[in-house]
This record gives sequence, C-alpha cells and structure tokens, in this order.
Amino acid sequence: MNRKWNNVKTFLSKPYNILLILLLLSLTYLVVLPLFSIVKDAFVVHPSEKSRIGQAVGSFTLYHWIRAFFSNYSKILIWTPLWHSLYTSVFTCLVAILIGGGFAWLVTRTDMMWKGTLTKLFIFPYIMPSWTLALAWRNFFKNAVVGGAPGIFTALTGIAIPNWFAYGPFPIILTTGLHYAPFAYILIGGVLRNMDANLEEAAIILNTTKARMFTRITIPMVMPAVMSTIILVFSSSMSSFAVPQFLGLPVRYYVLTTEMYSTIQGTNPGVGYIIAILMIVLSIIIMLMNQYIIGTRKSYATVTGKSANISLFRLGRIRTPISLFVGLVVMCMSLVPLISFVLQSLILTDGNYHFSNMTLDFWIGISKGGNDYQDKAGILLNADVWNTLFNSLKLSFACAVGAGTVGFLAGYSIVRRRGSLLSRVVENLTFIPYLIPSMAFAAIYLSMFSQQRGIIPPLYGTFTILALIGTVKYLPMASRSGVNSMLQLSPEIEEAGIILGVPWIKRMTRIIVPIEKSTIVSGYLLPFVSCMRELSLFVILVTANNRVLTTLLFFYDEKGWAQYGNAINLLIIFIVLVMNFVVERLTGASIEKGVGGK
Amino acid sequence: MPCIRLVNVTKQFSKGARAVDGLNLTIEDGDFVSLLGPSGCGKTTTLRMIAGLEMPTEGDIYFDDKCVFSAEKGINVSPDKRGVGFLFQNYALWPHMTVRQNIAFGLENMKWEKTKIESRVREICGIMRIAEYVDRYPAELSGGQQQRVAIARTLAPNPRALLMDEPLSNLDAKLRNDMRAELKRLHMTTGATFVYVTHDQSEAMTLSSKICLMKTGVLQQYCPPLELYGEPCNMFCADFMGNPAMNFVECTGTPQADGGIELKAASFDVVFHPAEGDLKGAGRITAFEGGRCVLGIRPEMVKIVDEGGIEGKVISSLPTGMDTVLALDTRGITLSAVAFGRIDYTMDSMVRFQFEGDYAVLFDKDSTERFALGSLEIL
Amino acid sequence: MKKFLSLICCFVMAFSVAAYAAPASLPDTATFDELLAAGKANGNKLTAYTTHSVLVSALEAFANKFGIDINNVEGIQIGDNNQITQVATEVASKVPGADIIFIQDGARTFSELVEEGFVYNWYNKEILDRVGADCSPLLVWDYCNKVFIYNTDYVPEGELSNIWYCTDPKYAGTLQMKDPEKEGVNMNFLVMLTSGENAALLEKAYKEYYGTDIKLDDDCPNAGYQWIKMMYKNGLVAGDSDGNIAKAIGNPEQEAPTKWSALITLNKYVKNRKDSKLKPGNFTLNYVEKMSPIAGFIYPIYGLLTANADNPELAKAFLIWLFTEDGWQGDGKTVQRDGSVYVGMTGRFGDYSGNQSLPVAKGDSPVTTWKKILIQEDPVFASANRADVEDFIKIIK
Repeated sequence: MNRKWNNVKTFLSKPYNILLILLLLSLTYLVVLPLFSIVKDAFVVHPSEKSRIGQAVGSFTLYHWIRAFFSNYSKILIWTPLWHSLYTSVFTCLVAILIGGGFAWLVTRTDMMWKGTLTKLFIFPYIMPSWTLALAWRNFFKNAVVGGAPGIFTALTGIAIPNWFAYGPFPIILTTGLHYAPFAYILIGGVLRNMDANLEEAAIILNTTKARMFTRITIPMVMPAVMSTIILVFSSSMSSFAVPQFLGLPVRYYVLTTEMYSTIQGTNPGVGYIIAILMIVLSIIIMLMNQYIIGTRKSYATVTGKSANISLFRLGRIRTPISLFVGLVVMCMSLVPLISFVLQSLILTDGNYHFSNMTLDFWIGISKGGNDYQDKAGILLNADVWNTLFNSLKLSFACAVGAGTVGFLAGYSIVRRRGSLLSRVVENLTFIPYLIPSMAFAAIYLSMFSQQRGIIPPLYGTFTILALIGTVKYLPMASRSGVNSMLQLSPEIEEAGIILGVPWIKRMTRIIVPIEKSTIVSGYLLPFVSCMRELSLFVILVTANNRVLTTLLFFYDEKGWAQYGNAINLLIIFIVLVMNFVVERLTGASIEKGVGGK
Repeated sequence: MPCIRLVNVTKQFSKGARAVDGLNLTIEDGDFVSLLGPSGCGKTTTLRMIAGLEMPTEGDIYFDDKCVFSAEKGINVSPDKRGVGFLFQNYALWPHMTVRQNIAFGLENMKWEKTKIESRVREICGIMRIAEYVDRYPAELSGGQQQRVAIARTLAPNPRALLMDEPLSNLDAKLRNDMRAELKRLHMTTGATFVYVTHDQSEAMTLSSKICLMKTGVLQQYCPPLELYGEPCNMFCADFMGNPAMNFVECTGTPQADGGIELKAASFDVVFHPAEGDLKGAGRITAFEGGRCVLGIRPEMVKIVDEGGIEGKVISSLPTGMDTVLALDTRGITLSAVAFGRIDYTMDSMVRFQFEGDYAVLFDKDSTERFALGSLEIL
Repeated sequence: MKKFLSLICCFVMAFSVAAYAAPASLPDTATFDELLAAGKANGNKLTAYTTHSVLVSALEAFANKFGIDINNVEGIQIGDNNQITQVATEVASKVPGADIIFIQDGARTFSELVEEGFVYNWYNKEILDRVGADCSPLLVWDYCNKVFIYNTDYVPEGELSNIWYCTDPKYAGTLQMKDPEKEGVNMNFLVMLTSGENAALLEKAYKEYYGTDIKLDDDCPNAGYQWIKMMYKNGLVAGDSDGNIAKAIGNPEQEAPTKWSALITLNKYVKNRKDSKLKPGNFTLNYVEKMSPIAGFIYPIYGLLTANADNPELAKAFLIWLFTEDGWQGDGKTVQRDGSVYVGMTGRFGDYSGNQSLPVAKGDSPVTTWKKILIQEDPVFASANRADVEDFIKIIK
C-alpha cells in the first residue's frame, strides 16, 4: 500500500506526468468526444429535416444513411463529389510534384539564373491563402457563365474563355497544384540539397550515365520526399474548400467539401455529417497508407555527408530560355495574382480596365448613405472592416498562443516520457485533429458546442469557440514541432538543472525555452499565419457578430461584391506576408523552414 | 598499374581560399600512400582531384604518362574514364538498393554480362565476408558491414587505383583496428595502388608505404612513415606525428669547436651532436651563430635513470600496462616521457632522467625548419 | 448521451407546441406608444438580423427619432441561410442574439424557425389596420419582385412573352437566374410552380406556346415539375448575384452576342439600367410585364420576433413604426449613424411595403398590380413541398 502510494506520489511529482494527464483529459474531451458526437448527428433529425423526414427533431433516424448510400440521390450526394475530390486531388499532386520538384531540381542542381529571387517568389503562393490563385484565376478568366462581365483576359484580348478553362476541374487542379508546388519544392529541394553528393559521385565513378543516374539514384533518393509531399498535398487538397467553392460551383462541379457545406447550410445537414465522417475515414486511410509506405524495408534514413560542392549541371545554351521561362511562371504564380487583385479592387464597372473606369472608392471612399455596395465606405474607412480585422488578429493571436503553448508543453512531456503508453496515447491524440478535415471539424464543433455542456456554456457565435477550434486544429502542427525540437535536446540539459534544485517553472523558462527559442517561435508562427488565412474551419462557425477577415471576404464574394472582396483579399495577403517577414527577421523562423523541418 | 603524378596542382574555391597550393606528388605503382594532415589541409580535395570529382584550378595530373587533367591544355578525363575506385567516408551506399544491387550497379554500367556480374559479386562478397548479407538493405547492416560492402562495391570493377577518403573514421575503435589490418592485407593481395586520406597519424603510420603530410594546402613532407617520424623536416611534421607528441624545448645555441652545439634551455644545458649522415642541416649548422632554436625530443628519448641526468618532478603518470606516459617538470619546462613496462610513479615524486638515442631534432625557431638530427649530452 | 438527447427532444417539442398554438390568437392590444415606453424602460439592446440592407439604416433612424441611445440598437445584415442557422442555434442554446428578424425564404423560416418555436409571428391592431391580410401566417414587411429582363439589343420586344420560352431549345443557354440552391426564394418560386393551381396555368400556357398538349415525363408529377426540368435541361445559367447577372446581360459590347434573358429582382434591374456612375446607356435592358401565364414571382421579407428577445417591446414598436410612412421612406430629417439622412425605400424600385397604402417608387407599379401577374410565395405550401422539389432538381440538373 505504502509502496503504491509512493509510486503515485513519484508519478505526480514529475510535472510532465501532470501535463500528460491534463492533455489526455482535455484532448479526449475536445478531440475524441466530437468524433462520437458527429456519428450521433448522422443518426438524428435536425430542425431543417423535420418536414422531409416527418419525425420530431432530435429523434433517431436512418434516413440520412439511406439517402446518402441507398437512394437515387447517393450518386449526386456522395459518389460524384467523392470522385471529383479524388480526381482533382490526384492531379493536384501531380501538378505540385512536377512543378515544385522540377523547380527544386533546377535550383539545386543546375546553373539557372536568378535563383535567389526566384526561390523567394516561388514560396509566395504557399504563404498566401489557398484561394489566392483561384481568385486570381477567376479575375483573369471568368466568363459570362456566372453572370457578370468577363475577366481581364477577355477584356484585353477579346478571346472568349470556354467553360472548361474558366471553371471546374482544370482550374481547380492547376491553382491548387500551384499553391502546393512550393511545398513540394521545399520538401524535395531539401532532400536534393542535403542529399549526400557522394551517393551521386559514387555512381559517377562507377561509370553511370546521366540518364541512368537520374532514374536509378536521384529519383529513388527523392522518392520519400515525393511520397510525403503526395500524402500531404493529397489530404490538403481533399479537404480544400475555398478553391472548389470559387471555381467549381459556377459549373456545379461539387467536391466533398463544397457538397458538405451546401448540405449543412441547406435542408439536409444529416447527409453533411455523413460526408464529414466519410472525409475523416478517407484521411485515416491516407495516413495508414503513409505509415505503410514509410514502414517498408527500404529505410531511407541516410547519413548526410559533406556535400558542400555539388557540381552543377550546366544548362548551356538553354540556360537563358529556361531561366526566362521559369521566371515567367514564377511571376504568374506570385506577382500577377496580386496585380489582378489591385486592378479588380479599383474598377467601377466590371470588365472595363480603362484608367477612366478606376477609382479608389472601394479603398478609401466615404460612405454615401445609400444601401448598395457602391455606396458603402471603402474598406480602409469602414468600421466593420476594422472590427473584423481586429477580430481576425485577436483570433490568430489566441490560436497561436493556445496551440503554440500547448503544443510546446505537449512536445516536452511526450518526449520526456517517450516509450510509455501515456505518452504514446497523448501523442496520437494531438495528431487526430490533423486527420479531421477543417470543415468536418467545424461541423462537429457546431453541433457539439451549441448546447450547454456540463460547466461549458453554449459557445455558439462566441469568440471562444473560434479560438478553441483554432487551437485544437493547429495543435498537431505545434506539437509536432515541439516534439522534434525536444528530441534534439538531451534530457541531461534539464537534469543538470534538477540536480541544482532549479524548480520546474524556472527550468522551463530559463533553460529550455531559451534554447528552443527559434522552434518555439515557429510553433507559434505557423498557427498564427494559418489562422489568419483560414476559411473552411471558420466559415460555418462564424456568426455575423463575430466575423473574421476571411469569412468577410467570403461574404462579399457570395454577394458578388468583387471590388471589396479583392481589396479584403489583398489586406489578408499583406498581413500574412508582413507577419512572416517580421517574424523571420526577428527570429529566423519562417513558414518555409517550419514546413521544411517537419 | 599506374603511377599517379600531380604537377603543380592548385585548387582554389570560389571563396578565394586555396585548398591545395602548388602540389607536386608522384604516387608509384603499388604504393599505399596516405594523404595526412589536420582538417582543412586539402587532403580530401587532393584525393577528389585525382578521382576527377574536383577540377584543379591549375596544374596537370598524369596517370602513367597519360594526362588525365591539364588546366593549360584543357584536358579533363571524366571520373569514370580514369579507372579508379573511390571509397567514401560515409560509404555512400545507395539506401534503396540491396547489397547485391549496390555492388552490381557499377558492373552493369560497364555492360558486363549477367553471369559474369553474378560470379564477380559472389567472389567479392566472399573476399569481403559479406556473402550472407547480399539481399539486405544498407540500413539493415552494422557500420563494419556497411564498410565492407562499400569496399566490395569499389573493388568489384577491379579499379587500377583505389582512392579512400577517411574510410575508417565512422567505425568504433576496435572495428577500426580490425579494418586496418584488413586493408593492409587487401593492399597486398590486390597489388593495386592505394591512396588513403586520413587525419589520424597512427593510421597513416601503420598502413602506408608512404605518407604525404599536408598543411593548409601545402605539401610538408612526402616519405615513408618511419622517416617522417624520425626525420621530420619541420616542427609541424614533428609535432603532427607521434603520440604522445614530441617535446619542444626553446633554447639558445652556441657552436662548439668539435662541431657540437651547446644549447641553453630554461632549466638545463645540453650539447647537441649532429649526426653525420644528416646532410640536410649540415650546411646551415656551420652558419649557426648564437641563434634561437627549438630542440625536439621524442618522449621515448627521455629515459628515467636511477642517478645522474636531470631532476624532474612527476606531475602526471598515466600507466597503460604496456608503458607509462609521464609528465615531468623541471623548473619551468614540462617534458613528456615514456617508461616501458609495468611501472607507475607516485605523483609529485622526484625522478631523474637523461636523453638517449640519435633522433633529437634541432629546429630553427623562426622558420621552424629542421637544422639537424643528432644526439644529446647533458652538461 | 441518450438521456440528454431525449431531454432536448422534450424541450424542443414542448416549445414548438406552445408557440404553434399562438398565431391563431387575436392581434395584440398593446399600442405603439405603450410599447415604445415599455421598451425604453426595459433598456436592453435591440438587435435585428436582416437580409435587407435598408433595415440597418431604418433601425438607426428609429433610434435617433425616438431618443434611444444609438449604441443600444444594432442591425446586422445576414443572408437567409446563415440567419436561419444562427437564430435557431442561438434561441435553442439561449445565447443572446436577435430580438427581431427580417428574413426571406418563407419555406425554411416557417418550418425551421416558426414551427420550432424559435421565432413567432406578432402584430397588433395598428399593424392589422395597415397591413390587413398580409399579417398572417407570417407578417409581411416588404415585398420584392423578380421579373424577366432581357437584352433589348438582341431580344426583340414581345418575343419573350410566355414562360415556356425558357424551355425552348431555340434559346438554349440564354437564361440566367441566381442559383436556386443558393438563394431560397428562387427555390420557393420553383416550388410554387408545382402547386396544383399554378401547374394548371402552366399546362395551359404550354399549349399556347408549343401548340400541343403537354406530355409529362415519368419523373414529373405535373406541368410545374416539367417546366423546371426542361428549363434546367435547356442550360440554365445559375449566377451568383442579381447585380452581376444584370450587368452581364445588359452589356452592349458582348463578344458573342447572345439573346440573354434573366429572372432577377426588379430593383437590380433598375439599378443597373441607370446607375449614374456608369456610362449612360451602358446597359440595354428591359423587363417583361406581359407574360403568359406569369411574369415572375413576388416574395415577402417577413418581420418576426424571436422567442428569446431581450427587448421584445422595443422590437415590436420598431416593427409598428416600419409600417408608417416615416418608417418606410423617412421624414426627411432623421439621420442615421453616419450622419446622412434616412431615406428608406424612397425611389427604390421593386420594394413594396406590406402596408399597401404607402407609396412606391415613381414609375413603379403598386404591389397589387404586380401580384396579379406574379406568383406569390405561400410559406406553408412552400415549406411542405420544398424538400421534394430540391430533391427533384438534384436529380435532374
């Protein structure tokens, strides 16, 4: 008995054990319980379904499942969107890998010109919100199908854009693929850059031809990076909402997320919850595949050697043309979209890009007292916009502090107790939010927290629920970086403090935090920036009293107020870029590095 | 079998530093040459230039009489055409290929027949004692096994010369000793020319037939190991070779009528008798006039005696069982000494010692060049 | 969990029964003055959610006119879908939210908010006197109409005179309409077409247009469904906003001249026809008044009180005031928050007060005229049949 008590006492005397227990409890509540809640939601009647099901609200029903899988509607509700999601995601991966990987190879292995500038610009789309390129695409190539004037391209050239080019899978794949291309570049480029040059030199000495070396050595070596790019791009693109919303809807091209949004907002949310479950199952399958691939015999863990002087492949005569071409593509990815936003936020009448048709009204015009959007104050003078901006910043800050701090503490306690069951369970719990697509996650929180839950009051429409979901959703990011950084820090460093009798708080604040400063900061930066540009996580949780910039953008866009939408989009991009720049300057941490060092 | 000749080879990296500066080196057929030096001395660069992985900025490289590189003539034979094998420090085994695939890869490139490749792989795996691992991936092998696979892969195409870049540095001490013996044996059986980069002087001593000692890109001395040990041409060479390191004692010297030189050190005086055979310093010895110089004494020359000689205090005694390394303090000068046999000394006890042997070295303090070799007589 | 669930069920059901019983009752006897006084005494903030932007200004003008702290009222513009979700959730979870809502999409409002007891229909004698029959089942604050417009350069006058025009392969791909799946009132319009009465009208018009009797497809129970199906199959362009549709259709410099027509709000039509900031004559638009059997549809924006209103008295007073002339088009001196004078619906085409004695914009027809040629939304019918039509469209589109 005494011994047992002593064990308990010893266990609790370790701060990391207490942390793990706390994390276990809160994550069970915030992550595991919602999973049950969403399953429940797929089996009950919601208010908007009362008339179609003919049962009381809240009563048990199999209607949603039958409708989703065994009715005339299952093709429209489930299978077609699923097929569209898979189709666009596969090709998005392809685009991202080809463009990102190709760029990585050019930068690391050839003597292409302007590498420094190009790499900086190439990262741009990844820092900007995911729908940036989609909106720019629409600005350029929209045609009369959605109503409104044709886009910049048609205005300049007079060439009408066919539907397949303006909307639907083609632009969705291209813009999402380009958005994730930097990500592929970061991962694959990292491997190419750090790859032991000896591996290639060994092949050279053994008489290997260039082609054979590329296919047998270089490609297999970057395969793991390619695989992890594929996994991440695929799952990100499966759960992407804004792009298919902007580019798919005009031609009624629905993917899982947009179908879920329309069902949850519409008259049969039960099916929406089933789609959410489906998406969660899919991402779990993807993760398992990932585990399986990583777990095979061919372990790629390589000793990185001294590879300071890789000899660069000389492009020779095609050096200038290739550099120019890459420069052009990079421009189209990074600067041209911004220009289109500026243009679009200035013009009075759609489709007319003459200077005479431009005005700064949408930026700095004063309110004209009318009720239409041309009469509203420009976004820089509009109190609503400023409130929203402030709310966005507040929310991003809250999520960053929440996720960053919890993630760091989680990383710390997980690593300290590595190998124990408790630590494994908590580590997996912190990872679950990553598996749940943003919109499905939001749907769960919507249904779970709109009622009183024990001591937690109903959180619907409050700032708290947004901060809560942001914190939980970005926890995987932060805790991953926390775990990685703590793994590199030997426990002796802290033990040295323990022996000197330094209390835990002081050990953390005076020893561990200063050492891990830069990774901790990136643990905060990533959630901040992600939150600043998050749409799908918030779009169904935000109420009119609690808008954030991204949902305001979405609101303007739904109303067809293109000028305000574009102006707000620029504002978001500006803030994200500035944040990234400032933090990079201050700490050396940055999104690119955060991603690269995952 | 080739003789490798480097003529005035210089390598300058873009940052401006010269990694290798005007190197002239001839590696005879069948030699086991070690390129030795502290890190950053240009030894790896030299090796890579021989292999063709690095392009010299200036100079020529010949394999036998065939020029494989010439900056002036614009010749640069690619690595695969030079017929050399290269063993990398980290082995550079391709992680996605099995042992068999790793070894066969180069042979396939040379368009060998399938059956021939198979038999060669079997043969070389037998020699390297890795036959049982042929279907494993590198990550599933221990460091020593990986090392052997790397050697097997390098040797499989029968290279004329085997270039090795610190191949043993990633192994633990015991394995390293085993591999040294194996390498020496391999050199004998293959009869190939070995060029071996290392920063470990004892490795170079034990393995090589000749050592090329470099410092900041400049060749210091190129000779058989024992000659380098016994007759270092400057203080750097003397200091770099040997463990424990040579004792350096600063002193002023006065030539004696009998050809000896009287040396005054801080705490003792000795007479240095130049060896007759040492022609190198002979000319300058005669010109020697009261100059400041440095006396180099190998620890094994410091002999503990029961009486006579100089008195010193034992400030540390480190017995290994085979011998004991001592640090002796004689009023300001600390000397290391080696006493052979199973002896230990009490700390702070007083002992007496004298100098024995003919390999004391006298260096010019300013140029650090060697004046002469000789024996010492305590005054 | 189960226990909790059933608890919620009971709660919701009890609520809905209580609320459902209410509408049959007689008009409230409280007067504007009493309610205003009571509302001021109450002192709580008055929050209104609205789909119509004018009401935000109206609420500010109301506060200024009657000496209520401007910071004690707030009008928030929210679209109908979001408003339904938000109000239902807020009332159910007792989170403070709106006191009064102004919302279109009668079908969903009726089944999801009114029947569930989250909002209730309220009117007093004063309102009844002004509004009459439009007081129930849901009180109509404002009517909006959506009519067929067309590009006068490409569509000769009179060509678009029968609603089956939209299904004619000759005009494939030329009809635009805001996506019914995005905007409930458009869906309700389609639902109303399937009512027995309207289907009969459509059947007759079919014969007028095509000259033969209508032959219904197997999946179409009546001519209403048949029209919907044929219209979708004929390449309906589902746009994202009426304003954009008007601009697209009216653009005189079209790359590929198209016989564009569209079903949009009269308000957006007028706005885009003569927006002063645009080049004069930039848009070549006209709308159809004579069309067989109907020329479009008219839908109400309802004014309803929430079950958890903090200041129901003030909300009611505001509602009464909206039906006065001042509430509709301002008194020429009361200002809004930003200092500009409140003008309400003055000069606005396509908006008609539930109080039919109030004026309409100069040049526009009174709502009684419109009602004769347009289909009206019946929230009860629409809510009962909405799911069927939505599902039908899901399949055929």
